[in-house]
Amino acid sequence: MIDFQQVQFRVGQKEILRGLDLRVDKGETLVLLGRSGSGKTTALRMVNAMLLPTAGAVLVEGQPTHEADPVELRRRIGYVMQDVGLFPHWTVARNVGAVPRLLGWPEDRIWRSVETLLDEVGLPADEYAERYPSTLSGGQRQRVGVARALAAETKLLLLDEPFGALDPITRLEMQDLFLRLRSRHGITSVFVTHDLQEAFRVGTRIALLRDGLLDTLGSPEDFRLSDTDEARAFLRTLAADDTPAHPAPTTTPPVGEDL
Amino acid sequence: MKIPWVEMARLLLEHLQLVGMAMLIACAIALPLGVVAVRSERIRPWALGFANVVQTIPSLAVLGFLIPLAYIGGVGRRSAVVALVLYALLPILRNTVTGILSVDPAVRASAVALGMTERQVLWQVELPLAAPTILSGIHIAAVASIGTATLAAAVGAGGLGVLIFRGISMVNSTLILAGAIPAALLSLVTDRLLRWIEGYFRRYSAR
Repeated sequence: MIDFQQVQFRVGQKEILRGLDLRVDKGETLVLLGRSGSGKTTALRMVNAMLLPTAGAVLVEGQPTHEADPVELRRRIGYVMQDVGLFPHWTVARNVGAVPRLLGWPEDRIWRSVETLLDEVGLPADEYAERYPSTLSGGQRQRVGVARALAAETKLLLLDEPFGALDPITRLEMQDLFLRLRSRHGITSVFVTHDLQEAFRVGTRIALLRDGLLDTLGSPEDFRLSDTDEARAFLRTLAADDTPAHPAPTTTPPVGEDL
Repeated sequence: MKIPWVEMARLLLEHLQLVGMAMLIACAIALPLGVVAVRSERIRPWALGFANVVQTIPSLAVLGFLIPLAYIGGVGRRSAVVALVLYALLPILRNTVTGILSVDPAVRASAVALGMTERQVLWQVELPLAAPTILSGIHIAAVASIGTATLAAAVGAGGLGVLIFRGISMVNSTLILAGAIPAALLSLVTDRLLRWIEGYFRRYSAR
């Protein structure tokens, strides 16, 4: 469904992606994992032509993004980002119906889609449709963000650290919501995160990026066994999460500090 | 002395026409120029710089400069409107630029990511969200213009300044007040009206 072919991206002298080869198959959730500056968000933004490769090509459903009409392409691809970016001057319903309206759907079809999606993300339309984003909590806003990304019968979803700004409990609920919606709508997705735990929960495959190159690629099980330095550095973050349960001997230096 | 009610009413209307026409033209220039200035980092300092420089020239001097000019100047209404337009440019331009630039980058990014065209981003997202700021620029320009327009009488453009100038030359305070009071009241009413409209837009866009 998505094909990265020797994708390079440079800004001035700075190389952000240095020849990335990657395939995303239908129905899978490919997690792009990496630290800040690894190029994962850049790679994501190449899929909906927010950025174009300076060399190589990104193919979406067989068509290179640099030959596609970016506006038409983006309307087919859902996009969820950490800052949500709801339109503050529009009601929840109008926000969710934004892409269907851009596509010129008739009003009753827009409304059906909005109603269904609001129900699916746990914000019943009777109660939430006419509210404004500023009256919602952070988690509710991101639910609206997810509903908006899916409203135009979207089959391909891009998520850029979507739940990074939420508290741990809400984040877990949102990950569950994402998994439910994924199976119900048969969504293919690319999911950017720097949280390995999240990567394991949502990813069918994990692509670890390092300095604009693919470091490791494989299923979560493969990832646990991979022995590259960067993969082990990420696996140590899980070990660090375990420390409260298994207190480390006092002689051991704190893990993860030397990253 | 008798108060010249009828003449006052006629001059008030003239005054309104001068200011109204100037505001329309100023908006027609400054709003699109502001949008262009937001998009182009190269044009922005020039546009704002020009408007700033114009603002520093004393208004009476601008009127003086305009009198000998063909097409945009001369004695009469045209010079006065041109001068008022020049003064109104800066607040409208500056607030248009500020208003659009202060739209949350995440909101802009999501508008693009959703598949809005550049034009749709402008009309459906940036301008509605910038509207309160743009309106307050128009507000400032309009209220200031009402005061400045009293000088229009100096180039024979009419308006309430006629009574003020006549009052000065005849050393007649009643006449001066007959021009000044309606001008002040007009400012107040305009101020109130625009404040009310702004409040409406602010409620609607700043939820």
